[in-house]
Amino acid sequence: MLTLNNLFLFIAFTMIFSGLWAFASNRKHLLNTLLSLEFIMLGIFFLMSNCLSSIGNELFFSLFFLVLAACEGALGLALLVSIVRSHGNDYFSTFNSLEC
Amino acid sequence: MYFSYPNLLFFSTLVSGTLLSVSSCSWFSAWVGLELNLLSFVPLMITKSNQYSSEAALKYFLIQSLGSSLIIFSASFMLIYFGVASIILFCALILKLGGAPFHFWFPQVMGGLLWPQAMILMSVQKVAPLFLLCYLASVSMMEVYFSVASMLSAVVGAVGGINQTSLRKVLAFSSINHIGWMLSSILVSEVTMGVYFLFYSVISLSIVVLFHYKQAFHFNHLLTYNFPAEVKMLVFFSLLSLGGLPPFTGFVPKWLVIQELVGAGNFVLLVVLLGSALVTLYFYLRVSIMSLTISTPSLVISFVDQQGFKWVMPCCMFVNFFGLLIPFVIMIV
Repeated sequence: MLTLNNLFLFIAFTMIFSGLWAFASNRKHLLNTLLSLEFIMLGIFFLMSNCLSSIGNELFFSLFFLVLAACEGALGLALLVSIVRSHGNDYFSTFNSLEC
Repeated sequence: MYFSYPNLLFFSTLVSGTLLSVSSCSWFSAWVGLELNLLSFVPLMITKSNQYSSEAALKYFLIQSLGSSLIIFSASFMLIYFGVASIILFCALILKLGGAPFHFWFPQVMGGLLWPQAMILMSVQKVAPLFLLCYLASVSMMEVYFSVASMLSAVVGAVGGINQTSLRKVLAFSSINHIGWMLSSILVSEVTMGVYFLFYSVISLSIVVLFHYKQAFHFNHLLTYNFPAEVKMLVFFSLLSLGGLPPFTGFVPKWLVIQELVGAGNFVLLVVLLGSALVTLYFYLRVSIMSLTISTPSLVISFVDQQGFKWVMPCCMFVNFFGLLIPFVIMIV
C-alpha cells in the first residue's frame, strides 16, 4: 500500500513504528515505556528533519520540537519519581487502584 | 488551597496552550499548544501525594503523550501521504478526547481526581482536540469515521455507566456519551459543536460545583451524609438537565443536533444517539431517586462542607432553568 521509496523515510517510519510497538507491549517496568516514548520522539525528529528540509526555510521547527520533547521526557521522569515514592516500585502490576 | 500561586500559573499556561492550538494555522503549532496543555495539566493533577493522584497523573501523561506524538507524526507525514496521515490524525485526536474506541483511560483517570481537576478534564481539556477535529471534517472520506466514532462513543458511554458506583466515573461515561453527540454535530457544522460544547460544560459545571461543595465522591456519600433537601432537589434537576430532558437547558443543544441531523437525513446515527441518551438518563435518575427516597441515618459525626462554595452554588444552578425561556426568546426574535 505505502511505497516508501526514500530510504530516510523508511528508516524514520520503522523507528516510529517500532517505538509504538514497544510502548504498547511493555508489561513490567514503567521506565521501559518512557524509554520507548523517547525513541518515538527521536524517530519523529528524524522524519521531521527530512520532510521539512525539502520545504525550505522551515528546518528550525525541528528545534522547537526537540525542546518540547525534552520537556515531556523530563515530566515523564518526574512522574516516575512520584510513582516510586507513592507505590514503592515502577511495576505495571501495582497500578491497580484505579481499575474500571 | 486551589488558588495557590503554582496552581494559578499552571492554569494560565493551560488556557494559553489551549488558545494557541485553537488559533493555529498549521498542525505543527497546534501540536505545540497541545503539548503546553499537557505539561500544565499534569502538575495540577498531583495536589495530594497519595496513590490515586499519582496513578491518575501517570496514566493521563502516557496516553496524552502518545496522542501528541501521533499528531506530530501525522503532521509531518501529511506532506507525503495525505489520506493515511488524516486517518492517523483522526485517531490521535479521538484518543486525546477520550472518545470510543480509545476511551479506556478516561474513567480510570477521572476516578483518581478531585472535583476541580475532574471539571477541568471534562471541559477545558476537550476544547483543543474538538476544535482541531473540525479541520478534518472537510477531508474526503472522513464522514464515515466521524459517524462510526460518534455511534461507538454514544453506545459505550451509555452502557458503560450502568454498572458504576463512583460519581466521578458516572460523569466520565456521561462525558464519553456527550462526545459522541459532539462528534455528530461536527458533521453538521462547527458552530453547532461549539454551542453543544458550551452548554455541556456549563451544565456539568453546575453538577460538579454541587458535588464539590458536599465533597461527595461515591453513591454511599449521597446516602450517608445529611444532605439538605434543597441540595438533593438541585442534584435531581441538574442531572436531568445533563441528560437532556425537555424543560431544562440541556435539551436545547440536543434539540439543535436532532433538528439538523433530521434535515440532513442521517437517521441511523440519530437513532443510536437518542437510544444512548435514554440509557444515560436511566443512571442519572438512579443517582437522584436513590438520594431522594432512601432515608439517611442521623450520625453523630458531622461532615465538613468545602469552604467558600456556599455562594457559588446558587449562581451555577440557575443555568439549568434557562431552557424554560427559549420559547419566549424565539417569540421575541
